[in-house]
Amino acid sequence: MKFSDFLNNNIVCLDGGMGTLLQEKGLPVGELPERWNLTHADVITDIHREYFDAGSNVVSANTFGANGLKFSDDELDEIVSAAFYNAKKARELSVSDKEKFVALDMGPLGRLLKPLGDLDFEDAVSLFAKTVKLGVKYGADLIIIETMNDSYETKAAVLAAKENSDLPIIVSNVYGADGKLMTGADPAAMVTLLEGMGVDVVGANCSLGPKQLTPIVKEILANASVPTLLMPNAGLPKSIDGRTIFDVTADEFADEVCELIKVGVRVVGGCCGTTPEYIRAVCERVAALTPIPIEPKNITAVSSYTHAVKFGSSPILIGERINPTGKKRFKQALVERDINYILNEGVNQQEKGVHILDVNVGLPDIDEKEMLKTAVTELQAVTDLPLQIDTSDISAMETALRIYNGKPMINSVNGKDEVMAAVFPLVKKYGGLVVALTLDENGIPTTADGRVRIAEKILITAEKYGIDKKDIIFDTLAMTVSADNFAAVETLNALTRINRDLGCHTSLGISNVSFGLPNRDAVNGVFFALALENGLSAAIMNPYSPDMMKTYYAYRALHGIDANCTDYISAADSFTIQATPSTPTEKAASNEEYRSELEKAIVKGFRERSRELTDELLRSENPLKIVENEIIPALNRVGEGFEKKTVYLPQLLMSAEAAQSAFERIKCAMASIGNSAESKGVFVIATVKGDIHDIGKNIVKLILENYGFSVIDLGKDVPPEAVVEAAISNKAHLVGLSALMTTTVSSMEETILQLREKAPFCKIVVGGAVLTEEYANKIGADKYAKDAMEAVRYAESVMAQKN
Amino acid sequence: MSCTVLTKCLDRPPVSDKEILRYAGCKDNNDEVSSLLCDCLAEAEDHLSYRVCYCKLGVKFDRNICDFGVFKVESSDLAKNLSGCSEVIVFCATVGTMFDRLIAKYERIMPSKAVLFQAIGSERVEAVCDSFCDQISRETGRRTKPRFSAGYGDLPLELQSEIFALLSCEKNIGVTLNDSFFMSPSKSVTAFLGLCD
Repeated sequence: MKFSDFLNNNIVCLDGGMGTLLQEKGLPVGELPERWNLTHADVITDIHREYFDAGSNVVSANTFGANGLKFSDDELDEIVSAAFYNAKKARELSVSDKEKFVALDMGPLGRLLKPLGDLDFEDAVSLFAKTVKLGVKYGADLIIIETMNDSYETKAAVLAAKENSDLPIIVSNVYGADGKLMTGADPAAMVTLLEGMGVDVVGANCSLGPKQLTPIVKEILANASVPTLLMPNAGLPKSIDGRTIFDVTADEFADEVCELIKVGVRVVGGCCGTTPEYIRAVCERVAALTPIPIEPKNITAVSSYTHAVKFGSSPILIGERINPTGKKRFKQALVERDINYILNEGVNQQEKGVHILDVNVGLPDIDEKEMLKTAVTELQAVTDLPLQIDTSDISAMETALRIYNGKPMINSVNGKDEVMAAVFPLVKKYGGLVVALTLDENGIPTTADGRVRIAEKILITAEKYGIDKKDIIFDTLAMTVSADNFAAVETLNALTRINRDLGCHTSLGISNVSFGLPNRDAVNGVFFALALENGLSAAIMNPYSPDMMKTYYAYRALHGIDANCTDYISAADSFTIQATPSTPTEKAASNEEYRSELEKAIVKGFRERSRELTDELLRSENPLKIVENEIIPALNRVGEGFEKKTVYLPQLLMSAEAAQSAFERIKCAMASIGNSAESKGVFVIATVKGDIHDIGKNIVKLILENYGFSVIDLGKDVPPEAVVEAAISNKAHLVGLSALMTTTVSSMEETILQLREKAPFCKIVVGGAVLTEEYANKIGADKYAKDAMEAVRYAESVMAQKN
Repeated sequence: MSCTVLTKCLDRPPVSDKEILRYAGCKDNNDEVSSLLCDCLAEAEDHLSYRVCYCKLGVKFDRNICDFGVFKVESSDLAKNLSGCSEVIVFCATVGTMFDRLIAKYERIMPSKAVLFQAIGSERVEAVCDSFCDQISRETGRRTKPRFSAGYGDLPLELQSEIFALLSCEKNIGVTLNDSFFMSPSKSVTAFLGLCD
């Protein structure tokens, strides 16, 4: 029998702990248990056989830590081969008459993935892939990915399993007592991610005993439309007379596990501290139980690395601001690869209350695939909101879907055969909730009828790819009402019918409806209200628009979704556009120390205030004059204080950030008149290869930008070749390199060597915790800068000599 | 030789603003930094967990070689630190992965806060260690030596590999070690704590 057939109709018993048993049999601390497949084959085979004899349907081969980080390719092959030889031999020797399967077992790699750790996502996928291929080669019946405490690493393992085998996949994560993974995901987030990717069983193991895991398991059961797994510890460990004892007995364990089988758990086993005795106790009880059928939950949801966002009665807001269409400043930021600008748009929209961020970085002159990958990676470092990948470039879409840490929204597919053929396979493979536009080869039908017909065609095609209708959300396309007076009516009709007759969720890009009209916000707000009343589930919208936010909160209050109108009340203050707070033109009079209010705001590090004051000044003054007369003197004052040690690093940075918010307004003003500020010089900056700490580099970048340099930030862990290439292609005047670890100074030296050879025109300045002036000289740098101000002074002196 | 690795989730140790500002390189305080620190502390709260995994080992000395049974290490500084002890606690403490997310976020969008979060993290993880060591001292009724970490004095950083293998830090509290012996989450500490006889 195939495992998947067995799973359909039975409660599946897995095996119990391995590690603790091996330690008892003499495995020394520090020795890798997988080596025992070769050196102690009889011990391993015996343990497997005992589990089969106890009633296990599935025994995991001893491959938990068998990965390419711990073993060479050859040794890995030998180990996995021996592991399966042992497990299969145990299956033959077992006297049990149950169905018996052997699983490839994969645990964490032991290194944290970027951006928190230093292991690249694709490297993690390749490492898991090696083990999966060997599992297939040596005859695994299924793959168990378990004890995973990071959602991102879990995704890497599942991708590797899907790309290299057709075997059933069981995934189990480690939840703490707070109900979350170490890296933040709750059970709903994991179920959403994993079901989206098509795994066969989801669950929880390790860390806690069955009783403590109960709320987590119930949460999984409530969300999952696939079978749920439970593999707890035998309670908590205690040390008694030098032996490790777990505090839940076999009978208690089995009773508690069976309680959860009765509420729907279908796959059970044990983790740390459990032995064949525990599994036998479970199996004996299971024989008397009937499996509870799995109910499809029909939940439409997306997820981030922390939580799931479900579509239902409460409207979902999708922030539209990360999109260059019609935004000059945004386009400029993209061309300059100014990721910070995008990140701020993300963080600001989250503060306004959106649930999902749309991410569109398409511009004709840029490499969209690379840019989208960077934007998605970086956004995931600053926000825990789910993202909507918005692109028509299929290869950019796939790249972004791969590296996204969760189940994303995908914008978009439509009724064109060619587009469906390109997008649906990606949705199937990576998981996602896809926005389907009701248009096809013949354009957008003017009538609701036509749009509903396209929706039906899209659903039929999706089904052929194995995509459920809960994973499709229709956009019936808001057209411009000033061009066609009945445009909005038809859009709403189509919306109602798709919602009511096809039972699907809907989403609209709201803003388009008012194009060409004055005071567009008023029209948008009412259109949003009408659409919600017609069953709209989600809107792609501008969260800075008070009318939209008013509608959102009022709708929820009126529909009984907002208990006690709490959300409405707390948001109500923000609805009235605040008149710019009266700025008393006290000038310098009240405070002799400062020549102007803006200078004071920057010196004090007030971001909001600096921005407002700059806006005010921009009404009457030339942008560059403001920089020259106000911002630079303020920065100099703080910079000098820092050099004299009367101002400390946090203050220097607060001022720099205040100055940056002033600069942002200046850049906006200049972009709108088609100008960009003159650059003082081009500075390429990077943290060298192998080094993943970049706070120092970011500080230097911020201060340099303040002083008018164009800074090209290559990020951290940058190979020498990339630095050289950027120096040449940007004709850099200066290159700044940072290293914080003694182990990476050698890659700094290598980078300098390559720069000297291929880009001799640029000056090299280095810094970082482990460097000294002497060492900087030794590895051939032009300058050692002990802090950001020294780097600025040096850069200024270099530019002064050039001019 | 079997050794039982235990884990503890500690209560939030009291916060020292002064310590945090010292880590942030502020020799004296001013209103602007104080108010930013106040914001940061409020934001940090939900991102901090205080976890420790540990195990008790016997130790014997042969000149500078400290023999813990499960591994040995040559270090005159550790031997000196542990003199008069026949038992030691080896532990790993962390404030958790979510806190690193906060640092990573503000490194990108607001370095002033990133600097303060770095300082808060350093202060917090040291406070966890203090609080853990106090607890051990109370539970065992024994005086403890000052804690001693790999990388101090002549105790090689490479010993981290042995400590991680012993404590299964990743499984127990989510701490991993990279090839350069750096820990993730970054605000984590491993150390030996001598139990005075």
